Amino acid sequence: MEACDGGGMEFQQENDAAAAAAPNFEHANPISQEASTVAMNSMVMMPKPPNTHRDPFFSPNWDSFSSMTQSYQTFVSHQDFENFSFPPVPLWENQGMAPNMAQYLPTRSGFVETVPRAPCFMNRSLPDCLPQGPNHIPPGPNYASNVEGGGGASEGTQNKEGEAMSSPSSEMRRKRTPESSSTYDRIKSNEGMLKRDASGDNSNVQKDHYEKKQRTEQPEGTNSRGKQTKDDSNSGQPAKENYIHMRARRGQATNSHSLAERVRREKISERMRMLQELVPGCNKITGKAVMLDEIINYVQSLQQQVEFLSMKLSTLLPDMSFDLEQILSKEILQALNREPMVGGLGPMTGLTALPSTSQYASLPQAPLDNELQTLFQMGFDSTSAMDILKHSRRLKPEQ
Amino acid sequence: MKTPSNSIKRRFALKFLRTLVRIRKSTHQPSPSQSSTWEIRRRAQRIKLAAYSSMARTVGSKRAWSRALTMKLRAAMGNRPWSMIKQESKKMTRRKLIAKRKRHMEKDLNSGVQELRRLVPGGQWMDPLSLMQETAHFLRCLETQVRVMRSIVAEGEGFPC
Repeated sequence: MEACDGGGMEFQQENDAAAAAAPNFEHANPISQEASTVAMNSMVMMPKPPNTHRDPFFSPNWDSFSSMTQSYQTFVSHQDFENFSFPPVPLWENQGMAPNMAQYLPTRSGFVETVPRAPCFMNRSLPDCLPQGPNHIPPGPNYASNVEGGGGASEGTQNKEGEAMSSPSSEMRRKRTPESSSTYDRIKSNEGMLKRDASGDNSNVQKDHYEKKQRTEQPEGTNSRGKQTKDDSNSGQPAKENYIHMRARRGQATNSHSLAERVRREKISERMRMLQELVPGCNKITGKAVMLDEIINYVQSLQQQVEFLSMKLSTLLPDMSFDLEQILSKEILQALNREPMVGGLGPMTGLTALPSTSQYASLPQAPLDNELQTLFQMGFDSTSAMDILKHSRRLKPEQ
Repeated sequence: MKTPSNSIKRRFALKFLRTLVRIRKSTHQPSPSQSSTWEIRRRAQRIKLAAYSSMARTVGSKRAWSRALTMKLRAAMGNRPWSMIKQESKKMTRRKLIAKRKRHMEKDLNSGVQELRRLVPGGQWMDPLSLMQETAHFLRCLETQVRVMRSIVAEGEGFPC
C-alpha cells in the first residue's frame, strides 16, 4: 500500500542515516587513536616551552622560543617564527580530535589541557604571542587539579613544575594581565571548551567561571602554592554554609556562586551520563552537544516508529481476531520479555525483505522462536505439538 | 525512580489493547472488506493517539511529561480546549509561567536543549535539570511503547485472513 510504503521509505532513510551514523563512530575511533599517539609524541615537548631549565626536552625550535620569552623586548625575526610554527602545526590539525584525546588520555589530563594553547601561536602576531609563555604555566596546576582528581602522579608533577615556575613569573603575570587579558580569556575559553568536552559542561558557563577564577587569582597570587592552601582553608567554611555540601577543589574559586554553579553543572553532567546509558550505542560519545543531538535523534526516531507502527496496525486491525484478547496479551508479554530492543531496523524487516541486516533480530521470526522455545521447554508432547503446529500454520500461511 | 518496570509494560499493553478493540469495533461496520487509504490514515492517527494516551494514563500524574501529554491529547481530541498554560497555571500565575518559559528560551541558546524541549511534552516549562530527568523517563516509556506495539504487529501479522 502506498501509504505504508511512504512511511516505510521515510523510515528507511532515517534508518540509513542512523546506520550510517553508527559506522562513523567506528571510523572516528581509529583516527582519533592515531591522532592521540601523534599528539602524545608532540605533546611531551609542549608543556615546558618557556622553562629554560629543561633543555633536553626541547627541540631546537622550542629552544629559540624559550630564549625569546626570557626577554620580552627582543624582536624575533620572521624566520624564527616560521621555525617554531612547525611543532604546533600537527597539534593544530589535531585540534578537532582534542575531545577524543581527552577521553583516551585520562591520566594525562594535565597535559591535555595544554594542547589548545598551541593555536594562539598561530593566531596572534608575534609580539603579542611571546609574552604568553609564562602565563600559560600558572593555570597548569590549577587545571590539572580541576580534572577529575584521578591520575595523581601526573597532577603532582604538573603542580610542582607550575609552582617552581610561577614564583619567578608571578610579577610578570601581574604585569601582563591588562595587556594579555583578551588572549588569556581566549585561551581560557579554549581550555574551558576542552574541559567541557572532557566533563560535559557548557563552555560559556565554564568561561565565566574561569574568568572569575582569573580575577581572584591575580590579586592574591604571590605563590600559587600559598594560594591553594588558602583556598583549602577557605573551602571549609562555604562548604558548611551551603546546605548541599560541596567541597571546593584545589585551586578553584570559593564564591558561593561558583560553588552552586559547579554543583549544578555536575548534576547536569550526571544526568547526561544517565541518558547516555539509555540511548543505545552512545558509550563512546563525550561532549554535551553531541550527546544531546544523539538523544534528540533517538527520540525522533522512536516517535517515527510509533507513527509507522500505528499505520501498520491500522492496516492489520480489520483482520485481527481480538476474541482471544487475554491470550494475545499474554503472548505479547512473553514476546516482549524475549525480544531485545532493536535499534531502528526492526520494523523494516516486516515490511521489506532485508536479508543483509542479519545482525538485528528480524521480527517475523521472533514469535516462531518463542514457539520453538516453548516447545523445547514443555517437552515434546503430542498435544503440545498439535498446538505448536497450529501456531506455526498460522504463521506460515502459504503452506 | 526513573526506570519504568515491567508493571508499566503490562498495564500499558492491556490499556492499549482495550483501546484497539474499541477502535476496531467502531470502524468495523462501514466497509469490512476494503478500506480506503483515507480511512486507514485516520485510523492510524487514532491508534497513535490511543497509544500515547494509554501510555500517559499508565504513567499517571506522577510525571510532568505525562501530565503535559494528557493535556495535549485532550486538546487534540477536542474534548475541551485546555491549553498547557491553563494546566500549569494551577501552580503558578500565568505571567510568571510565561516569564519562566522566556527565561528558559533565553538561557538555552547555546546548549541546544531547545530541540529537546520541543520533543518532550511539557518541556518548555521545565528547567534544564528536570528536563533531563523527564527525558530519561519519557525515553524509557517510549521504548516500552514501541516494543509493545511491535509485538502486537508481529502477532497481527501471524494471523492472516
